[in-house]
Amino acid sequence: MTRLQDTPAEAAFRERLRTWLEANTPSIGKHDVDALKAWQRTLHEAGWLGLTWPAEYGGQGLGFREQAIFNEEAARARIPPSINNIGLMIAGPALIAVGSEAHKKRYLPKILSAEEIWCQGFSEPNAGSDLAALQTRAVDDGDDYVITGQKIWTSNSLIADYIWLLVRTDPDAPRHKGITALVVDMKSPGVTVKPLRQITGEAEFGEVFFDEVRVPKANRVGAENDGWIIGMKTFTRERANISVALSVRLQQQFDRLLDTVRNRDVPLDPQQARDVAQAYVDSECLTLTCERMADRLFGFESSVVKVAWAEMNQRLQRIGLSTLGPDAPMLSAGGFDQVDDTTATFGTEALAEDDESYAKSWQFGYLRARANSIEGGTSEILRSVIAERVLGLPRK
Amino acid sequence: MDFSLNEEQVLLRDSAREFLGQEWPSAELRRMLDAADGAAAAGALWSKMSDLGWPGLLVSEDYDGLGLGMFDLAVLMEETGAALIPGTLHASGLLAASALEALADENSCQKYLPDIAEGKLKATVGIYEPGSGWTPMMLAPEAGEAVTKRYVPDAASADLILFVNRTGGNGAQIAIAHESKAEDLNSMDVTRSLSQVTCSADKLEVLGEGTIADVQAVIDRATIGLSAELIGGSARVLDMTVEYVKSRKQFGRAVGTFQAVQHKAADMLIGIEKGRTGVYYAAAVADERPDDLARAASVAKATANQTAVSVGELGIQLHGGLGFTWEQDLHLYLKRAKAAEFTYGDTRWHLDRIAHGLGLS
Repeated sequence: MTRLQDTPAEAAFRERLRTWLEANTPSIGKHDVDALKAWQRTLHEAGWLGLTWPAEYGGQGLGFREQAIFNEEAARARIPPSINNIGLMIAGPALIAVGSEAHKKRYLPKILSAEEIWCQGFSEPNAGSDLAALQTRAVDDGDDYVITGQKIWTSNSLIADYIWLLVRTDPDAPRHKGITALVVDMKSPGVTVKPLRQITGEAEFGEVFFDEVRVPKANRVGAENDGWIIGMKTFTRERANISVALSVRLQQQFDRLLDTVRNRDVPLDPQQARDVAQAYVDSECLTLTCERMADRLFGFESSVVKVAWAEMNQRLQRIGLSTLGPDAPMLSAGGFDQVDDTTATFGTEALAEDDESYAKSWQFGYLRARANSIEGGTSEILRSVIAERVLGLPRK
Repeated sequence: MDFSLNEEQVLLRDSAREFLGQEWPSAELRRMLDAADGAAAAGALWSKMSDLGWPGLLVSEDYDGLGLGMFDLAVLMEETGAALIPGTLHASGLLAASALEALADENSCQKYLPDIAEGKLKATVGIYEPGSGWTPMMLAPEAGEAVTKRYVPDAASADLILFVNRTGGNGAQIAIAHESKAEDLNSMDVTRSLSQVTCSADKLEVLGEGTIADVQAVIDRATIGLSAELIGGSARVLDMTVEYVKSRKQFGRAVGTFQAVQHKAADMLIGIEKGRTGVYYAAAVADERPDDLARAASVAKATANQTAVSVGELGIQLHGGLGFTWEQDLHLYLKRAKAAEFTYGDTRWHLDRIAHGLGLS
């Protein structure tokens, strides 16, 4: 048996993909939403997206192995960032798991084609790690729910067409039992989005306000008050898919680190060289761990990879910044992005080829990485998940 | 990359775990360490392991071994590391068997490897010298009147002591060190002896020749095996710790309910998963892509060093005062980890080798 080599079928898939990526990968600025959408549509039409999704909803019906090959080749080809990552990695997989047939047919193909961009409305100002404390209210009114409340830290909300939303439908029930999952059109009257400027200067997330927004009950996913379980299923998929995507990003970041240090005029001192080698060990081990644990990542063990990635990427960014020497804190061209209420900004830490600005710099990477151990579950919460759900330690 | 265990590997792992649970429980280990007839405990284990064919697992079928690969050995060595078995299997079945197959001539392989595979002959290898560090190119290029090797594993119980020497430039040779004198170096890891062995130059019987690169490849295979032992030991420490913090009560509840305790336990698991990946990857590379062996072995060892020492320390911490007692086995795992950290290259040495391979130094 061979462990390192692709099977003949996998090798053919890889070769076909590599050739296609070499011929078709564009260079797109990370804020160029239209170009990024067009790129995703191109990827989809060529059959490289939704690899593990069922064919009847526009997917390719392939296995995790093909997805892993895609991730490796995408990193190698340095493809532009994914514009619809929330749809592709969170909302889509969650709909496949728990959505109705009508929802799957309606939403999944347009997630793949980037015709509709998605965001996820879970966190609220008073419900972060303690998600079950969420208060956004959905009042039953005939065929509709009427929604009032606020979501926060909502990535891609500034460009999204749909939001994958958790609301409280029964304020009197025990708090885990009064939550419902909905799909909401971001263009509905009463929805407003405000960008939140981050420590990087960008606004890749925002606040979403709901002021008596009418949502048809047909947009409910699962049964009323079943939203907590659906949310949990969303989370395990989020962390599994994100872990896989993260290993690609870590590989890309490591390649960037190598470029940086090889282009230096002054050779690295031995400790710096060792630090870079440590980053190599980290990025190799993370990618391979995702492959090794692939069949367990849809469970709580995805937290293992998520926590490891957050720390590895933070370490890598620190190393990258430190290789700049005295220039390390000096902002590169562009400086902090200016954001105002009217600017729809799309942000991602994945970096596009032609961004010769602050956004491509190690300062940006260092600052952006601070969020890694907060977004998608804080490392503190995830460590508790690992302890209680994977190791079986008792809960308080 | 396919990390799944095949049917034979699952059987090997499960049967090894069961066998070692019966034959090498903590009480037997303690008998080896403390009792007057301690050597008998180790000897009995060796003879039973030999019946299972473990000393010949890597030896090719041409020499009556099982002819299996490094991935199989890694699966086995996770279990032997978890049980803290003494060093004979590592020294004879891995290091000596690999060194002979890589460097000895055909006649010598035929003469010694079948007995090693059968467990009748316990062999070990001395490579490093005073002042060589972990770098074979730093071995003395020519022998003086006597050759001294340091950190020779399990020399006290070995029937056959082999020396790997540099012969000038990139040349290397393997030789039997007849009438050598071994002096125990008193390793912190009391479960495994490391010795300094001296042999007169005229008592060396050369069995074959090769290059320094061949020597490093032998060491790299041993490094992967040692890393597997470290990860197996770490996994056992975590099991012990999880059991303990579930049952130990303070402030009226199990200490495992406290976040400060939970988060350390989570860190132990994260390190173990990362380390196991490194070991399996490097073992697969050793079997299938030997050109990449050096870098893969360094990934495995750098990670295993970090994981095993950290898990060993955290295991003691989470057991509180009990973890600090001689009676509890945790210190044996930490001492194994600490001694192994400085065997075949410490973390720094391996990171330096990776950096060099990446063209950074």
